[in-house]
Amino acid sequence: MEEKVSYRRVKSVGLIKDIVRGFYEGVIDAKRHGRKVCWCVGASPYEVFRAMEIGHFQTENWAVAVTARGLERPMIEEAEKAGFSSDICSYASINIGYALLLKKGRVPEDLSPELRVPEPDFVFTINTCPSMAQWAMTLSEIFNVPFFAVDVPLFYDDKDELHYQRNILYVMEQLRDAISLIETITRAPYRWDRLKEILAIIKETAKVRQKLFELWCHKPSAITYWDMAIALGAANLFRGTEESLHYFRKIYEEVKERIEKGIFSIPKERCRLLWYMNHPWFKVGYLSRFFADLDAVVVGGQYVIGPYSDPEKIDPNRPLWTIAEEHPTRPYVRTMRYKIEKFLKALATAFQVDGVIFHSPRTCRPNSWTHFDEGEILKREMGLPYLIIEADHSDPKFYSEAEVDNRLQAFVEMVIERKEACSLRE
Amino acid sequence: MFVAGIDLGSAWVKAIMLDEKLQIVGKAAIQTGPSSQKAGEKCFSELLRKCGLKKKGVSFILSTGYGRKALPVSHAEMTEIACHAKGARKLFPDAATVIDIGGQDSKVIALDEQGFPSNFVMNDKCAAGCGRFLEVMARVLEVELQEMGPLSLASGKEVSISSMCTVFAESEVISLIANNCNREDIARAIHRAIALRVSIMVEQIGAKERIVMTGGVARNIGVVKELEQTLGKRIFVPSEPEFVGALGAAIFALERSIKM
Repeated sequence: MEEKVSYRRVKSVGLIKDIVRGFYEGVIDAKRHGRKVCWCVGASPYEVFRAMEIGHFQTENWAVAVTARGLERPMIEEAEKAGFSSDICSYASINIGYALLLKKGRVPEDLSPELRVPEPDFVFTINTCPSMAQWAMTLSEIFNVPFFAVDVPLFYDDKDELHYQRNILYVMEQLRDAISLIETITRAPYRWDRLKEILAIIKETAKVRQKLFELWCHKPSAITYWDMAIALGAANLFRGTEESLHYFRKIYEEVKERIEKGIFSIPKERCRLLWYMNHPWFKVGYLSRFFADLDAVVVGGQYVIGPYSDPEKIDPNRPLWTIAEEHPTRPYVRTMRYKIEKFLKALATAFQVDGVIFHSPRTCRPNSWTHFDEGEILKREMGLPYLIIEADHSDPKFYSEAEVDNRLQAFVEMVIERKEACSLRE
Repeated sequence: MFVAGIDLGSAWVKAIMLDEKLQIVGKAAIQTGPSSQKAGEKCFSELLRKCGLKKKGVSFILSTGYGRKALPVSHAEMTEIACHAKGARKLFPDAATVIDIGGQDSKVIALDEQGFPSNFVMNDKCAAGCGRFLEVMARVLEVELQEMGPLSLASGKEVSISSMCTVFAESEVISLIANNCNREDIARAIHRAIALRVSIMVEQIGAKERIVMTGGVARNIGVVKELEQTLGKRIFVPSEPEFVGALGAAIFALERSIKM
């Protein structure tokens, strides 16, 4: 066999391990010290809870941490034993399975200590995904605690500014209600000044991330989609902390240095790909090496860009508007045409890709059934080939290695063969 | 100079030796059995024997198929999508669509004007519509696999099989047998079910002519006929369709060998 190449990961992304551990230990400490704990289902406004020192975490992020350690199985089985279909979101299966085991006092012994999150005092959700409300209601039933849901409407008209403003105001009003609820639960006045300080850190971090994005687009690639997937938590759940700001500064410096020294993610970059939708978290390391061995690099993708990516839109003096306006950046509440223009075409152009891979998770049908149309439009309007693969974000039983790998390899071969034949002709 | 292409499929391993003028020097095929590696090595030895060559006389070996990574003797590996496209285009220079139905999957490949794959689709989730499906059905009908095609041509009555899950379709066939349906009619229904499934994939990627069918199932005249009827287009089948992947692999081997 030909000698295989190696994948050069950006080392500082690995610092996330300490941030994750510290963050979840903080949640456990909150309960221990008598502070309230909130389980956030979906992409919630964590800064709202952080300002009041409420122990909080995102159930998806927690499920990713469990999956990345290969510990998801007993939780999924517990949820299935309780009657939940194996077709529901695998993040939800893992989280609900854990909730059931926690209630029974039977948390799996091999679960890392920091991931043994305590029971919630309330559950919060933002329904930017159709599963969120049901998931939050289920947790509320299991723990017999209140839940609060913020409804984010579909931004069905991409051009009507009034429609946009009305939707943001609608979300803002609900956030105001959520803050009243927090004041009731914590029996303390809301700390608006602290919220503004946190948003200022988020803004500062967004500036660093924006500069990092420019380096991220460098050709050849010095930081990949897979590196950014590992860093995602710092842009998402851990945002607004000094650790998160410091973390992105470290990554930025390292990537800048790599480019200056000519150290790139893979030694021989013959094709650049965009990844769309989430990815199998249990295969991040494997896939980064798999593509490297094929001389291909998955450079970018919308999923790992994370929230608050535009510092201009963050105004710490208008906290509720800033937080509410973050939600239209979620693809799940935008039209297909908007997603194609803003998330697919814009990123395909920025990253100078040769093809697009759509991941269609078996347990996330609501967010993946437009892939065929999106791919066809992209092919027609940008001439980019695309591939749809079926796997899953957090349930390894839906990842058939022979099937998925064969499709991915065939796609890379096809893209490289055509690209190189094309450049020879030119 | 000699190069070899070895297609390690789920049911059979096929191998082809080419010389530097792209002429076929020899072919070999053996059943895969439980070990792709052993079958691959055995098939390669058989190929060397038939060609009167020694291993060191072969400049480049490229493997393909599901077992392609299991063959230490090969210098490189590529997927069967690239190899079937390459092989089909060699045999039919104006091929625009390749249907490959092998032992455990079916795939449809669109080729651009230069003959490069521009898109492909594969069957999902189960073995429905593949060689393995036909093997199971032949067993239920108690006929030899190679008899399935000719048997179905004698069908006089239309019956249908609705499920494409191999296990459920087997139950349907058993109930058709219990209802005294002719084996000929059942065989045709099985072929039509495969044709319907594969034709959706063909339509998905454009169904441009000329359509070439490769892989072992292309030897089944019943499947080819039903596919032609469903698509309303002629399908061209090479004389040895099961060797097309190995041929493509051997051509890639020659290209790589020249580059070296």
